[in-house]
Amino acid sequence: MSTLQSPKTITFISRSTPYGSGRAKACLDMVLSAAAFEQKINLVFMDDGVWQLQAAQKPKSIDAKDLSAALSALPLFDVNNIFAESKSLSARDLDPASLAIGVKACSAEAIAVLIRESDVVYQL
Amino acid sequence: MKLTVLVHSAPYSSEAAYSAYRFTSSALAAGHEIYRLFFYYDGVHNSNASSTPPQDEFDLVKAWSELIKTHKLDAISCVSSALRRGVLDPQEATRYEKEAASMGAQFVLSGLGQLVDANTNSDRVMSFGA
Amino acid sequence: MSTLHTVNKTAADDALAACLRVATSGDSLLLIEDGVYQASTITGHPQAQVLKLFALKEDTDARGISLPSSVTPIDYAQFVELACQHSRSVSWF
Repeated sequence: MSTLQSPKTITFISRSTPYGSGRAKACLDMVLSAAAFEQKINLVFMDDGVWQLQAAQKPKSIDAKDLSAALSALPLFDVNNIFAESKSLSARDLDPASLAIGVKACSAEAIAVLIRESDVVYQL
Repeated sequence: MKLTVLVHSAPYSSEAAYSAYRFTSSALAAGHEIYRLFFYYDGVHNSNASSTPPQDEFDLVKAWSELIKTHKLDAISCVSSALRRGVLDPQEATRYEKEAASMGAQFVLSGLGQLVDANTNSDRVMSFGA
Repeated sequence: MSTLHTVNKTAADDALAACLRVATSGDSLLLIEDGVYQASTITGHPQAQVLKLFALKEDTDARGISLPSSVTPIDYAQFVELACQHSRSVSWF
């Protein structure tokens, strides 16, 4: 692999529920691998992606790994720019103050700025 | 320009993998360089050489293989996605004691680090999914 | 500095709505695959007014969809050009 001396700014837009499909997990895996290579990362939850932030997930009941637990470990990998679109949260009656992990609630306009400042954007 | 194409979807389940193929072919025809093809998530099914569509249908797996061979492209199937979905190369099939190794010879199993590398070394990354 | 957005879903999915919330003036939006079914209604979205609108001709032809004058048909070769002309892309699916 070529050297990765100049980190890129990568924004991940996660728009899928945590257990109904493999997309949320696939997005998180991409985030973790980018973090391992010390890229500058923004993680944004939009639409149904905010369900990943629901508190008290116990996915053992469906033999799945706890995605919210994995999300809560992100700061250990220096992933600290974690956002959730306010409109997506409120549309689902999710209170930004009582989520599984700490996120910055933000406007769509703020997400537009993150995109503009990114080298690469992944959405899934 | 140096382009990387990321494919999230399986052939035949949606149009996305076909669109990725057409985009890649057109980029090559226009003289661009494809730095890497990265097959992720359900996209790894594009590297399953056992895919056998009816003769009167477009054979996407075969088309990818020929495109990769002709242009000597770097085509990677994400190893963790591929193992879960039963797309193994002979080495992995032996390691996990599985009966079949269905991954096409034009593809290479590797990790997501290769996508991070592609971010760094490509001018553009284009994703296709469903 | 602009972004190329692609959308490949019909109005039954919220992909286009999400895209329109975060796309900004000067960005391009290319409808591909089932996204082309939204070509006639997208022009009614206020956010779409500030975007350059395109639809993939191969996909509109396949589906028998005709485009309003505000949506420009492009082929795969022009899709590649569009991807190169923008600093980044976001694929909404």
